[in-house]
Amino acid sequence: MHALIIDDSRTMRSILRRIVTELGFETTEAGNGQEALDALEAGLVPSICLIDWNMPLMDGYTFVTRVRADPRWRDVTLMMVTTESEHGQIVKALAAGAHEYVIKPFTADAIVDKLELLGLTVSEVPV
Amino acid sequence: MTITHEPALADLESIVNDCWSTFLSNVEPLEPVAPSDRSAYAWSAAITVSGGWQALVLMQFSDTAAKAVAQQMLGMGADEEPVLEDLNDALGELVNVIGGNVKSLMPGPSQLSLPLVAQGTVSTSLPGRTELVEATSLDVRWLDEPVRLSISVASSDASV
Repeated sequence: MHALIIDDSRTMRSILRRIVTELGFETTEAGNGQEALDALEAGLVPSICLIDWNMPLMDGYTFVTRVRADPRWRDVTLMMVTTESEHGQIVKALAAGAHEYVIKPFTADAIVDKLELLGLTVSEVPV
Repeated sequence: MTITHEPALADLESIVNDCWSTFLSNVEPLEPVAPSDRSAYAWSAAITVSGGWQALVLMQFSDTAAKAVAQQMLGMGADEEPVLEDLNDALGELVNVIGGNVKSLMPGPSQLSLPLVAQGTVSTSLPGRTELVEATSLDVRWLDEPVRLSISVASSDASV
């Protein structure tokens, strides 16, 4: 399985990378939504995108709408991982096509729980 | 009706402890302490909130505390020395998460700016506002080093 981690913070990408790598995911990182779209256009097929909201150039919400508008990427699971915790923002992201929503700060267990909910089971991961 | 323009101290404590326990492997809750002298702080990280609630969220760290934040958040070894880019990124992300959580407690909708990090004092202001007053602050010690979180609001919004 492959995770595309999209966050303008190298620190947050590092935290998420350590969590999902432990679970057996391969990872690719992007510093904003446009970089992530470029990676998809170049042929990357991730099982999941972990997406920050506030980023320069292209924010996470715009990325979600762009991915959902393109049938090539309809099987990609999208999970927002963001400090945006206002109810309206959560509803907006889910309505745009995000499957799950995690608010920072999060524990590794919270990420694992969400991945299990999304059927990206960790039980198949080699130890 | 009571209009609150600043978060409660207990809420700041809760947010800081959540961040420290999840990102900085902190086991014991951080307890409030008396403020340290301004000279104790070598690094500042700030983010502004604009919209339904306007504020400046500022974190200040001693040099040792700032480097420890960067080391732990970036998963560096204890013998690895964080460089300027590491400190900018890690302290910026920490104030971003704390600012986002503070924002969620206050009237909205509001937006966060991108974080600013500086050695010494960070210089920033709210759009269209010139005078800020500190409304709430939390001083803690982590690894026996001083860390400070303060929330400043426009003087016209400050509680008297």
